[in-house]
Amino acid sequence: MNPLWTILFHLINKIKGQRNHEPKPPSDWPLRRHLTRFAFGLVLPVMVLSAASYYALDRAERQRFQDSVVAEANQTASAVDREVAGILGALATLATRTDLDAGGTGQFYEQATRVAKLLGSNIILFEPASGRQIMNTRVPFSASLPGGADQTALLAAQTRVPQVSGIKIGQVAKTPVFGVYVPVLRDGAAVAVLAGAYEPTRLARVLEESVTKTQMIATAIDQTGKIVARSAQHERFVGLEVSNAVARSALAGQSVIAYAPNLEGEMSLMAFTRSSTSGWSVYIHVPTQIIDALSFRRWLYFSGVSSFALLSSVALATIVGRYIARPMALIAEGARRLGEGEIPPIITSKLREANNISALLHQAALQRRQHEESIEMLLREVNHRSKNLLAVVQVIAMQTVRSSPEDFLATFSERVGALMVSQDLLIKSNWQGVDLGELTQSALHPFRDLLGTRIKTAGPAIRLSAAAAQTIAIAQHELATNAAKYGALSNSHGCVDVTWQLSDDDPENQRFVLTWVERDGQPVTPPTHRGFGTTMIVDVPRMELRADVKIDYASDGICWRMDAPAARVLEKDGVAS
Amino acid sequence: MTSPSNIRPRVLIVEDQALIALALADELDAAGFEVIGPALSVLHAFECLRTADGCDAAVLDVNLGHETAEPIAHELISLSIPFVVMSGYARSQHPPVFRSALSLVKPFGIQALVDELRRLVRQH
Repeated sequence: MNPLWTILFHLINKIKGQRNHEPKPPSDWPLRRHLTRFAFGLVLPVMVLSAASYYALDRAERQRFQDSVVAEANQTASAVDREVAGILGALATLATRTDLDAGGTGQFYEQATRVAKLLGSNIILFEPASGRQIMNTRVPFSASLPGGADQTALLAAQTRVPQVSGIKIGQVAKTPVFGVYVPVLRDGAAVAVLAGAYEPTRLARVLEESVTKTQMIATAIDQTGKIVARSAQHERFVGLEVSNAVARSALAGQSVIAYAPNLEGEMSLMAFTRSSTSGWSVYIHVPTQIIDALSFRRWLYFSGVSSFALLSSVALATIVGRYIARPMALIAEGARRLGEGEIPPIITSKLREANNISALLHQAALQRRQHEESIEMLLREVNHRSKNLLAVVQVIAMQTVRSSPEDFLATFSERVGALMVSQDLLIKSNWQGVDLGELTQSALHPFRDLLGTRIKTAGPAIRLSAAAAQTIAIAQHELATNAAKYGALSNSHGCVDVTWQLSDDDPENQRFVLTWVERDGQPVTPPTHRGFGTTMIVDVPRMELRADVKIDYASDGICWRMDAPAARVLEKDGVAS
Repeated sequence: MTSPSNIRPRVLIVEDQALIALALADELDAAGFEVIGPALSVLHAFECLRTADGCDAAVLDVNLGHETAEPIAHELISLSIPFVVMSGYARSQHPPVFRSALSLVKPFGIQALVDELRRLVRQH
């Protein structure tokens, strides 16, 4: 045997053994409880499975949402880039004008004012070396301008590439602005820096238009972490500094997705994207509350469906339980009535098995009643037979006392004994007739020492009816008694031959012949009066069996011959008469 | 019909068990009755009645093996011949026709039967 199987076999035996040592009492539950358990058993795995599916789905949904936030951030950054690039383009075009080479002319001023109007900004011209304003479309051409150096303008002049400033308070406008700086290059050298000063509200609109989902907020921060624009509540937050670690790493040039508190203190999902043209960062943030709310809605849906499934299963179990329990109760009632001897009706429920059981109970009740009736009949019959038997005993007693009062007790006992012979054999054969050979042996039991030697019996196996058995047993007893007193059995050498046969005729005319022949006995004479003995060997067979009975009083013993219709003698169809 | 005292009243015996029938016949004969029968079956009993041209009283065993003595009882009633019933069964189990008669439950004392028969013959 495979060693694995051996181990398993031992293990199973061990568990079985343990079970046997601690027999649990059988739990007796109503059907409804079993069904409820069954329903739970069916639904719970499904619930576990759907819970697992829910968690998988939730994770996927969260990931999808996160991806959509990143996509939104990228898209918004692109929108900002496009906006800045547009400004840069317009400024670059303006920078090609020759009339600004000399530090700006009235003619250029006018042109710049037109472009500024078009772009919705102020256009400022800076002196590249000092970074001071030399022209500003916000004020008239000849008006005096602030003298401070603009760091971004200096940077643009030095690097000779366009720059975008962070948010700052405009020197002239005194409101938050951001600038787009384009160096005016002549032969590779910066002769001036042309800048557009923009109000951040313009960018806020861009953000607003870019963000497609209401629960998402887009924020653009400049190189120092100050808020340039926000798609919602722009005025409240513009210019504020975002200083968390996430923002810092985003400004360092990385695309970051993280969970961090937003400016309003709400824990949010944030996706940062760097705007390449401006050098700013754009981030989309969504309060985790909103994400969790979406998740919670999914959970509600899931748990609602699960609870509904569970409740409906239990409800169904209850209904089905009732469906089954009701016929069961009816069957129990039927069984109770069966126990009380009544006949329970056949129920017609929707449960075929219950109907079948009910029909079987009904059938069983009918059979039992039949059985009871047959027992009752049998008892009546037994009563009748025993009374008849007592009547016969009474008759024997009366007749015996009249014919031989001197040895009444002995004669009476022997005659009753002979009567009992047939009765015993009938009982033994369950009232299915008596075998004649057996009957003869029993009737001659008092002479059993002589059986086979001086008394010889011969004849075919024949089953006698009850009446015939009684008649023949008594006759044989009487004949044997007479033989012992006066006949062949009264000396030491006389013999008796008891023989019987059936004729070969058809059943209607068949004859049964029984003979009792004595030899080597004393000479016998016919009795002077007909006593009870004669009644029993002649009259009773004659009447009871319609037999012809002949007695020959020969010199060496009597010859008794009984010739009866076989139909009167034989047991019919195995039915006791 | 009144019988003169020197004439023995005639009694029909109907009993399917020969031994009992013969013994009854013997006893009733000794008690001063003239026995008609004994008959072992319904058919036999009708035969005896016809041959004897009626009788003064009868003793009927209710159960005659495979038949009952009902037809004889009806015949006796129609002939206004009184009878005594004997049976191993209780009286309540008898067919209705036997219920008007005195019922002796086997085994019974022979004197009770003799007394009842004498009473019936006297009344007759």
